[in-house]
Amino acid sequence: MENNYQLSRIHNYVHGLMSRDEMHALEREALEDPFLQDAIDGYKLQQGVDAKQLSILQQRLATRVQEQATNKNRRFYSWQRLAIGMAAGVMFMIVCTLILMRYLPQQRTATLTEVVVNESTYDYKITPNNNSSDAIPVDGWGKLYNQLSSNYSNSEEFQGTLYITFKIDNNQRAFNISVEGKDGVKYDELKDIIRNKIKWKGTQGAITLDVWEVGAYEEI
Amino acid sequence: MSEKELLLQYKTTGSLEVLGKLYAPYMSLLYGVCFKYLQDAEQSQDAVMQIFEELIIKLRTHEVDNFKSWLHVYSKNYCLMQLRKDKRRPQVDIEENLFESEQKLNAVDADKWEERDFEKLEDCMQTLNAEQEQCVRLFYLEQKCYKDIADETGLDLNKVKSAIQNGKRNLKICMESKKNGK
Repeated sequence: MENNYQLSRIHNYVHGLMSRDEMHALEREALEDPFLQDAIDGYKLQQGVDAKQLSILQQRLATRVQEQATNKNRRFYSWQRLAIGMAAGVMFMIVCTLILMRYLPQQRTATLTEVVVNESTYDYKITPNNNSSDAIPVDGWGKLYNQLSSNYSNSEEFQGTLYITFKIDNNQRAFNISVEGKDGVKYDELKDIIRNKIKWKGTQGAITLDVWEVGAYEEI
Repeated sequence: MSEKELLLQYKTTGSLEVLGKLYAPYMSLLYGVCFKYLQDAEQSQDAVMQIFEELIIKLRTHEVDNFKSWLHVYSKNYCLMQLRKDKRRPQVDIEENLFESEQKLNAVDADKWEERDFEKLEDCMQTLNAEQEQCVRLFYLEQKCYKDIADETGLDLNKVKSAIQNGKRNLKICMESKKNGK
């Protein structure tokens, strides 16, 4: 408003439509306000105020201000898109870590099983020779089988058939144990099991023991 | 909302709507200023818009106390830079421009005047050249407009204007030195 008033004053001044007092007042004002003085000089040079030009300018300013509003929206959307992208990236990383965390321990157990792989185990078949033997383990033949399976390492790595004979004393212990198998092998471990781990009934024993390798475990 | 508040609001928000509100009232004056230097309607319009573009950045970082006079100086510099780019040198009166940059000092013009000061003023009036003294007397004491003074003295209108401006400045300098000399 003030602006329009000032503009019309300039217009009147430039076109000589002012009274002497008004002219003096504006001139005095302009002396204190170089901005106003410059503007008056400009309009004097242009020989008048062109309202059309000024309204075009106002319009250009309005368009420019509008522009930012739309730009702002555009920027807002792209910013939003960026945020979504970043969230997706973070989620992806989390999923990857979770998968890795699950996968890595599995691999570790897999390497642990490899330690066991080469160890071979043997299986046994116990056949009492009933013609020349009355020996029976106090806890049953199953006890002998279990002892062989769990405690006998078969350090001689023997496979084949063993003939075992022994006598039994009053304390239900075997003595005079002899094992026939491969020549020159003592079978001390096997004798120890028969003597110390098993209690026997009867007076003498004669057993045929078949030993064979079950093979290496691939996995536990 | 006052200019100061608008300035602050723009600085914090960067909203062109706010800056537009601040700028729009000055556009017609700015156009006049630009036309004075560029002397071309098309170029002056573009300059007004271009200055607005520069304000978008400048006003976010600069502390501006008196927006009106800052804007005036800024746009004048813009136009002069524009002319330098165009290699088309205008006849800008250096005296006049020098005077205008000192103009801000006049803001504290309304000091209390004592009887002595009027005597001093009369002394100082004697130091002006005849042309300046005559024009200043006619303008300030008899309150005549430029046109009447030009008619009365037979001087050119622009001559009258610069005689008053220069006379006023010389008086100011004279008064100041007397005050400090005492």
